[in-house]
Amino acid sequence: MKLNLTPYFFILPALILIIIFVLYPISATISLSFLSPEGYFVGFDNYIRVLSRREVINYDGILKGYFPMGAIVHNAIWILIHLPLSTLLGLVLAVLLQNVKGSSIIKSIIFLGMVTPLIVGGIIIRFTFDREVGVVNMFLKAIGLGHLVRTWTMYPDTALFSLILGSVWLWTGFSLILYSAGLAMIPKEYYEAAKIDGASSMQIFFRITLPLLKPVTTTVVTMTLLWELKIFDIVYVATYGGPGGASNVLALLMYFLAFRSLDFNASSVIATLLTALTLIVAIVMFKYVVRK
Amino acid sequence: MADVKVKNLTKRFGKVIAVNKVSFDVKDKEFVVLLGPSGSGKTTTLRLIAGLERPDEGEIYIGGRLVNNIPPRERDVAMVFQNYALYPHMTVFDNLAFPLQVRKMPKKYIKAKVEEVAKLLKIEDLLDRRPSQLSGGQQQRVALGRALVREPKVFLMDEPLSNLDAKLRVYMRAELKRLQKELGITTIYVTHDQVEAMTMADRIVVFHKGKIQQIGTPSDLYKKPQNIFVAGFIGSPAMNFFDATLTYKDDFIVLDAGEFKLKLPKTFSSILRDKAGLEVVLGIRPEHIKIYKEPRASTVKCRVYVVEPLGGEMIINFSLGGKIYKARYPGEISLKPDETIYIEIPVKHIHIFNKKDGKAII
Ligand SMILES: Nc1ncnc2c1ncn2[C@@H]1O[C@H](COP(=O)(O)OP(=O)(O)OP(=O)(O)O)[C@@H](O)[C@H]1O
Ligand SMILES: [Mg+2]
Repeated sequence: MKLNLTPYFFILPALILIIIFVLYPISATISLSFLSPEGYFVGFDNYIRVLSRREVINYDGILKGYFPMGAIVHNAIWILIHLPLSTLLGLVLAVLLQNVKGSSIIKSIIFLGMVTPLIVGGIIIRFTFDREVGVVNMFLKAIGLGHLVRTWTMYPDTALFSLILGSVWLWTGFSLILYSAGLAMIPKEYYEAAKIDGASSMQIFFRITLPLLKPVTTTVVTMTLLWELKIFDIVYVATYGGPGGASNVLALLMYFLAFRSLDFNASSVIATLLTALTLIVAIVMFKYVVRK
Repeated sequence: MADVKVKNLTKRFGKVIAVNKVSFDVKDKEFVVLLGPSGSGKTTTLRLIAGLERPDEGEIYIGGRLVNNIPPRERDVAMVFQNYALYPHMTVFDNLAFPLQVRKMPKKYIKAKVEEVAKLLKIEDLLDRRPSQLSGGQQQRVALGRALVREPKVFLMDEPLSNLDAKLRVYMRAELKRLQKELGITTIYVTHDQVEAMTMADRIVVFHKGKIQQIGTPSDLYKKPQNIFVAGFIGSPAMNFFDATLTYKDDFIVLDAGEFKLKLPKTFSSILRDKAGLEVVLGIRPEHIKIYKEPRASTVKCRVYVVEPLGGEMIINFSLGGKIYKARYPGEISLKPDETIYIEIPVKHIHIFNKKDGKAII
């Protein structure tokens, strides 16, 4: 039997590009994470070394409840707060704005957070929580909580939460737009049928709307998770991971290890871990979508 | 069980008056069909009764209660949508159970009730399937079941059979009618198919351009259409119309249709007196036109245009004065296009309408 090679020639250009710019860097990074600086294979030595650093996991901080708790924990906290908040907020806003005249203007404004370059977003977050010009502090003064006023990103116990809240604002546009599109796809007969069948607005939402939005929710959750795992720019410009690493995250730590400490092997470990985590999320999502 | 009363109902969408001062009653346990061509306001009327639209004017009573300001869920009506609107993410069981679940009925009761309805509609075997795994006819039954399960006061159906193939439609027509009589649920049924309306309805409300044209039993509408629209809409093939003028000749009233003249019996003279010279439209149903191959007294000569055999009977299209008309011939007759035939228009079956306003004179 003669192998027909023609189809392979067509995918060759794309394949070459993927190999050079995607597969090679990934495999080089992974192999780097198992080598010593001199290039000897050291097994999981690098992993043990990196994972026991307090920048990655700070057990003392976790147990006693102070920051920094370590970049992995910070990413986890980010996910724990940001994922439900931005997803729910987007959903609630999408539902509320569904039949409102001129809602596209409001949606566009919220979506601005999405189209703003994250570097700019990070700077805006820094100003938002600033002592003198920040809108957060103005608000606190206005509701009589003037004694709380401070530059929130400069204190270890509030830096991370400030960034997370700021990133909720930046990202809510994403779930809002996806949910809005999802809602528009649901035929209005389902609502009408449910109304006549005797369902209340709440029952309609939980028994009709939400289940029909499930594919959207899957997409939103996956994309948000990936974004949270890879978060970098905001932290870089707003706090530089500080103060004292209190708002550091994995991607930024990877950058520091590579370009400040010049420890490329340690940096590769983090890169590999991040790749593995994002891959898990992507595979779960992919499986779900394919099954549908 | 309840009666429905609609009074002076009006609904506008911007400049369009979808429903224009519509009034009709539906008696308890009655099967009333809203019939009319596309865009005549049938669906809008139904949606107003269901509470999915709010009327601009007029009142709706269900079981004697004014429901204008009562939301759909409290009107205790059930609706079958044209495309069924089955919840795609729920099984057939859950679709049927939904109206009971949202009313917080006990689980045991729901299960029993759903199974009872499923059995009635012969869909017991489909209970754990999704709507997407059902055929059109099965979906239709599930939609019906979802409406039935709650034992509502009133059944509202918007062209529930229009998505089925012809054979299934005819079958379901009879099933639906039997079911309605058996359960005795007041039903308002929307269709643009006059055969469906004629075969199923106790009474028909004919709509045209948002207005009611006539209300009556199928036989009323067939025998005594009140205007040209109803006359032309009811019956298949449609009634033939000839422009004509009323004239007098030796004490007789004669309809002058140009190509032929029709002498009317004395019995009509009391109605048609003083109407000489009036422009009218003469209507005669295809099934009432008699066809002969040889001329007879009072026959009119015309030419065969085309013949449509239906097996057992034939529709004969003939041309007269440059226009095509239809006649129904019971049995079989061999005719070729362009052959000469002679038709007779029996005076006892004719309808006469005023040309100006379309209203029936006879
Ligand atoms: N939501 C709406 N917005 C604007 N116009 C509407 C709306 N619903 C109906 N109409 C208009 O009202 C008129 C009546 O519509 P309706 O749907 O009641 O007709 P119908 O008799 O049910 O016709 P069909 O047999 O095609 O279903 C039409 O002219 C239609 O265009
Ligand atoms: Mg309609």
